[in-house]
Amino acid sequence: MKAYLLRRIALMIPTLFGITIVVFAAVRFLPGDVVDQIIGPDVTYVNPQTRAAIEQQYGLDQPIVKQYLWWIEDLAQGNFGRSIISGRPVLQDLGERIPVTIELGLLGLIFSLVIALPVGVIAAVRQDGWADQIARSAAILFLAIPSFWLALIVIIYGFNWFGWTPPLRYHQLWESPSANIRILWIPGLILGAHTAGAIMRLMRTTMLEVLRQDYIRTGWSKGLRERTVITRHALRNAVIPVITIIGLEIRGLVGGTVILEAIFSIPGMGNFLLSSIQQRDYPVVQAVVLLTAVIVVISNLVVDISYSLIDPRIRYSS
Amino acid sequence: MTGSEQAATIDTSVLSSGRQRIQRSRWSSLRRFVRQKPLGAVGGAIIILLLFVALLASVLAPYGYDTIKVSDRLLGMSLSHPFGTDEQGRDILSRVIYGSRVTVYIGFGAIILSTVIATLVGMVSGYFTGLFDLLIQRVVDVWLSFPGLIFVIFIVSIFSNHTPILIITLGLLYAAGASRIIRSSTIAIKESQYVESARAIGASHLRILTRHIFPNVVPIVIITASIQIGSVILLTASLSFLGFGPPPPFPSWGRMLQEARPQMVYHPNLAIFPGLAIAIVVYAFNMFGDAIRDVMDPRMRGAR
Repeated sequence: MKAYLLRRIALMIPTLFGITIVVFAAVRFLPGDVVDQIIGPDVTYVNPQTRAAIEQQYGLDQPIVKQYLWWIEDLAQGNFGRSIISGRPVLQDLGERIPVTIELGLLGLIFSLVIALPVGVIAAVRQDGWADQIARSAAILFLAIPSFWLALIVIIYGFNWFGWTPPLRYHQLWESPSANIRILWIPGLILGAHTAGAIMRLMRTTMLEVLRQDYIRTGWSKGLRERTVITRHALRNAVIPVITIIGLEIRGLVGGTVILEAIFSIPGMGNFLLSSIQQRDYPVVQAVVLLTAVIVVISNLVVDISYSLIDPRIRYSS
Repeated sequence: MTGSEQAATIDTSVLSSGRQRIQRSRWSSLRRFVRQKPLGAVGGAIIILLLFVALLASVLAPYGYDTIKVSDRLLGMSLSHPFGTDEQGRDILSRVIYGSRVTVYIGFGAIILSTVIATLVGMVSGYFTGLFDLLIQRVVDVWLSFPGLIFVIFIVSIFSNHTPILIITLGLLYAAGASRIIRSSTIAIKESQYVESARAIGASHLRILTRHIFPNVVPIVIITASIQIGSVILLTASLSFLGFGPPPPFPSWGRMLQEARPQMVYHPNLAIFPGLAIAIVVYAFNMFGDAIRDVMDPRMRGAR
């Protein structure tokens, strides 16, 4: 287990470096040079001395590799630069927003698992029954419906039928947990819908495959109760491929938070990303893109570790 | 049917030209596909309809996509405007019809680009294992770490939101995942005996890759592309919704939904129809992709 963990973490290091290279390189392609961005769009003329002074101050006269290494050094110390708009360190501006996005993403994941796993199992156990038919149609539907459309429909008919409007003021989880959940549960549910569709379909398929195995027949013939056969014998093996797809869905969930934060005015990283792009506040944009990618990498590590905990074969194969 | 009659039919089929025979077997395999995979066939029909609508948008649309008529603003559904009109008096049906073009351009453009890159990278990386493969796979790892939506927003905000940039970014994004699948099937095919014997008689790497591996990878390539395209279209719509899609005035379904937001509570038709268009098209591609996968490779059934 220890060797597996070490190998898995060692593979993460080149990925993290690659992410920083992509983000660093992309920002260099911005129209206009970095000095113009630092000064902001309102200033049209900068005299050469000032320009040179700024370039020197930010190290822009140095070779690009050196600039990159400085930037990495800063990142390692938790220094993501300063926001051009607010003038504060980026991490300070992001501080309260990171947990909001993570909470929304986790809510989406939890909702999708809580719905999809039992429904997928029931659909497989009662194959071709009415529950299976409904579950399959719903899964197909959720895979095709865009989350932002679902959100708009909820807002339109929530208001027209129930007089409900999304709350305008946001409450942090630590300020008021109940108010916070009341704000986030609907966006979380909508975010999880697509993932739920994908997980449910796979859960059903793998469950059907496992239920045809010999050892399940043995379980039945031993006279075990249905619940024991399903939960103890079948589910444990059927859930393994499902964990892989959870790893794949995490990227979509993190991306999806941007849309739901924008629609429900939730002050998370996604909303901040959109407003920072509008204001061309690139230190912030750079930091958000970097952090979301790191969140994906870490989540995948967690998924892989839980994978190896459930399936010992992963641990021992090299 | 008597024995002699049967012999006669067989006779004529033998005499008919080869091309006709192929055509007939194509028709019968199409008929079999429709019978075995009704949902996939419905999906295929919707895709053909989409292509047809996109191609003939200027003929089919009752109004122009940008014909502003302030006196007709926010009309409900009626005979002259089946889907109603928007805040500027533009006909929603016409805009939905024209919006299919963006979906087709970007959806197919990105998937074609992604498939070409993924096939090249996946085959070469899987065939030449070792250091080269290791390096390529670390690059793919990096690519797979960025959440798609955030990455495209980032790139579009740096360059521009013109259609070619969107197609290239989406194509590169989806190529990473697809190349993994193609790589692993290349590795499996490489171990087969016919590749080994080709190597034994001294075939070059290029010949083995193009003549022996590529034809066997094609089904996987088609399956991957047909399954990814629904997701590409969803992502494109999300981008347009957030304002990072192709620039106005040419309509896209995602942007129509964004523009609907201020009025949609009292005029739900503004938000219903563009969203319905996205959902139906994505549904069609998903169903078609599933059916293609089941027909071409039954082992992959249900795996997505």
